[in-house]
Amino acid sequence: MSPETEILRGTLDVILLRALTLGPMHGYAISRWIRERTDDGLQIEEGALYPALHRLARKGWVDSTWGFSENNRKARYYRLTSAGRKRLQVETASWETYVGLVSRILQPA
Amino acid sequence: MIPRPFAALRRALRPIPRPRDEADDEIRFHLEMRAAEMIARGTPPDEVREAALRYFGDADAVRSELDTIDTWENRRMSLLETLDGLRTDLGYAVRTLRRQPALVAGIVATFALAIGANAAMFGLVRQLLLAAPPGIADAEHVARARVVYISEDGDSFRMTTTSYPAFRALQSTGATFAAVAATRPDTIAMGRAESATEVASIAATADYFAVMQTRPSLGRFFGPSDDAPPGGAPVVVLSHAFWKRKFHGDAAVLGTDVVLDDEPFTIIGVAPPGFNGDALAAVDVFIPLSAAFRNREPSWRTDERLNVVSVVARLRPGVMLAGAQRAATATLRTALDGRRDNSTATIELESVVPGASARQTPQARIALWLSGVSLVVLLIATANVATLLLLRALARRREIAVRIALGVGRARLARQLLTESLLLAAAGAAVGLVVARWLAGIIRVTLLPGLAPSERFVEGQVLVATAVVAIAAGVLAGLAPLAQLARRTITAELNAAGGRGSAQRSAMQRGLVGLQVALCTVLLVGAGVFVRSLQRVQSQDLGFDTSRLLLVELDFRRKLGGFVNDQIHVEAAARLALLPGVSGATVVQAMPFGFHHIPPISVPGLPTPPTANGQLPILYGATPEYLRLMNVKLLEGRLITARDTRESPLVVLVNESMARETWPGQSAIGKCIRAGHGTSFAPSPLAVASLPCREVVGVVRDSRARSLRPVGREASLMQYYIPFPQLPGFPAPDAKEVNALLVGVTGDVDHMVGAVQRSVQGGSSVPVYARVRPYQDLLDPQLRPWQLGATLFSAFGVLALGIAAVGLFGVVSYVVAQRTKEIGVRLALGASRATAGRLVITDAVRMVAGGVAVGIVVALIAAPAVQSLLFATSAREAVVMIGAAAALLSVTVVAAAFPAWRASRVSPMIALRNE
Repeated sequence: MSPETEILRGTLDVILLRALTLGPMHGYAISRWIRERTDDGLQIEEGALYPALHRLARKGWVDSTWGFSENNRKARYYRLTSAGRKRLQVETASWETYVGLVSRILQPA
Repeated sequence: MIPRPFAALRRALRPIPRPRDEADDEIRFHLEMRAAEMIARGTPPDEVREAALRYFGDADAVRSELDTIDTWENRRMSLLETLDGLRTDLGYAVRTLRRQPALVAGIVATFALAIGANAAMFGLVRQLLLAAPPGIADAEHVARARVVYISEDGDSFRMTTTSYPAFRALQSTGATFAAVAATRPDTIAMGRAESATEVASIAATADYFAVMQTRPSLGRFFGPSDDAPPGGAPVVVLSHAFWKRKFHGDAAVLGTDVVLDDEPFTIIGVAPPGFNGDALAAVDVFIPLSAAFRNREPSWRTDERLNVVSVVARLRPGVMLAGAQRAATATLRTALDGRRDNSTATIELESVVPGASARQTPQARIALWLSGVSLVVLLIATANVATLLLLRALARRREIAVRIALGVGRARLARQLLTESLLLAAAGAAVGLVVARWLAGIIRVTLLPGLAPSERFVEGQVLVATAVVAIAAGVLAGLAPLAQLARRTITAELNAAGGRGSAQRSAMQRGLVGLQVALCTVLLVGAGVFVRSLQRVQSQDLGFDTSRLLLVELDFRRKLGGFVNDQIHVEAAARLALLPGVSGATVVQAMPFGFHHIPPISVPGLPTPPTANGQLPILYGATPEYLRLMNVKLLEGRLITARDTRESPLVVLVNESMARETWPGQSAIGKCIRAGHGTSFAPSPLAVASLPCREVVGVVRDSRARSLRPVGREASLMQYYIPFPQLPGFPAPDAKEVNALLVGVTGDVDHMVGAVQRSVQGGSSVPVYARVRPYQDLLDPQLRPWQLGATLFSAFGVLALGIAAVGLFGVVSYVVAQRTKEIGVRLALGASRATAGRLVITDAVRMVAGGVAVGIVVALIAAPAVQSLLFATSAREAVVMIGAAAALLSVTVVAAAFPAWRASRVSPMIALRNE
């Protein structure tokens, strides 16, 4: 198991957007996807997902509807909008540039 | 059903329920899912809940954060929905209205006239009653001072002017006033000789602009160095409007000279737009007081008896008006002792922001009257639009019924109908603002001269008031169709037989038409009585005819000796008499409705001077030409002739009233009158016995001297005429005796103004500005209330009649369309076509007759309110009532004529087949 890492400020949004590329999901499913994808390596308070999701909704990058979960419970489902999809591309590109630059600095000479 | 037109608005404004429940649900769902996951992985159930909460973090904090985000979101969404709904409704309204351009044009024009009239009226009322003069900062701290004196016999009288030393004294009350200025409004001549024109000026001391706390829009204002004694600096500040008008708003005029009072003044600045000082009237130029008075005797600065200036002051912050009055009064009483009545004088301060006293001015009363009448017109217009919209809704009733059957909510339909009427009202208001601007201009010129026009297209408050009026009118007009919509049943409409329903509908139309007709009748009765009253005022016999007379006043702008003054007048009169188109010219001292001369007078044998109702006789200096021009009619004895000179025996003419009251039962001819001041200004109205006897040589007919309304002491004024060369002198040395020139013309007075002015100004040996105006101008201020009543009631009455005629036409046409079948049956049964037409007209007249009756009753009840404004006319004059009724009924017949003609063309076959 890799050591737990604090999530970098601002990256939560892009993670959520990425998660929603898989299709509409409720908050719990998103948190579970993140845990599985990172083998519990990212330290995210699960509660923090929700304000982030609602803010994304406010910005128009995701929208939400109430639906029924796999066990037939009422749940709020989030879905990526086309604006959100564009945003994800932009964010991903700039993230990769950033990571590339930082790793070049950190590489042993 | 209550119409719910505001559902959309209400939804937009209601407090949004906090979506706490939704946030709770979302969080609970997460925790439960997480717990289930942990149980599935074998975590002991009693630890699950705590673990789930630990992973989640602070649930309460999350929940409140979600609340904050979502509340905002919900509000935004609901606003968007509302706007979207509004846009849909507007689009629908525009599309449906576009199909009926004639109707829309009629409604918009109706609204535009009525709303425009109201906006114009509100603008004027605001200026007169509500708003401070424009351009003054913190106007509530600026006040005009009046001095209240108590005379020896206990009468108090109020002076708006005071002396320069009194102003200096007030200026020293530093703890009370932040700044004090003395002003003198005047007219001065601009330009030279023949081309001189008159401009409105305010001469003011250095602190004037500090009192007003205003900033120049160009250049600078004058200050202490420009107002230094003795002559000040010849500098001038232009008003913004004058700068625009005269100099086309050219900034290059700064530093150039204009000729004022025959001397060059340098333009140093331009006042901000709209600024007229503390005056309501337009001002053209502001000049330093010292410069304006440079040619006066220097005593104006020192003599406490010369009331030459008005005082305006800015209170220090926190100083109340009452306290300031006390402090100013104390200062005035202690600082001045050169004049006895200063010891009892009181200073009154009146804010420049109009207060209760502003409502008493004739201008304000005029404006309030106009407002009331324009509101009635608005009511008529609204009722009319309601009628038209109602007819339109009825014409669309099938469409609407189908839409209801298809499940469109009534609330939504109501909203659409209301959107339409509001849209029409808004369009009307937009056009109305243009109408208002135009109307206000006309009213200012004709009825409220002396009120400066606003430099802005529309004031903010006026805009708001117009919007309120438009919304009110739009909602009211929209209510009638809404009420119909509420009452209607779908099946009845789809069946379209229209039995009971149509009876109800026509009751409402008839009600609306009746309302319009009633209001119209009231306005027409008003118009009738005011027009008759004006006719009687104008046709009354004043004793002279003003229509061929011009009055010329000369303004020399510098101190001239009395003898020189009189000489220049005499020469000018001689030149004028030779001018083509002039029937005669003479010098005058006093004249009816103009200057008055009321010197002390006594009659031997009488202990008191002759008086009529406490009024001393009025003296006129008469030349033979004067008697001819003023149409003075001889009753007994002889008139004054050219042979009555300074050297010949002293003679006098008296009027009938004076002859009758002074020497009752005797002939006045040969009696003696003493008149004049003697050697000093004696306080007594009784002429001293040492004055020479003047023999009465003639008795002439009474004429009106001061009032167009011959009541009270104006009913029989004593007047007497003394030959000009024999006039009693004033005690001052070299005092002038001629005040003006009277010129008779053969043609139209207005056409002669220019020629007379050029003759006087061009031929004069000293620079002079000649103010030439029709003699009628002297009477106009008194005539104005009557003119106002007649003009406004007539204008609004005709407007209202036109609007009502459109409404009538609409309703009658509709009724004819409704009764096509019935008419067809009648025709089929052998009724003549004339009968069918008559049927329609009779029906229309019956519909109107009720309204006329109600209107006449209202007019009879309201009569006492206007009675005091009428001249020798009863507010309940029968002729007027009958005339108003006749006018409305004839308009009805005309409005019904076309529908009646159409009814008579109904083909029985087609009418019956329609069903």
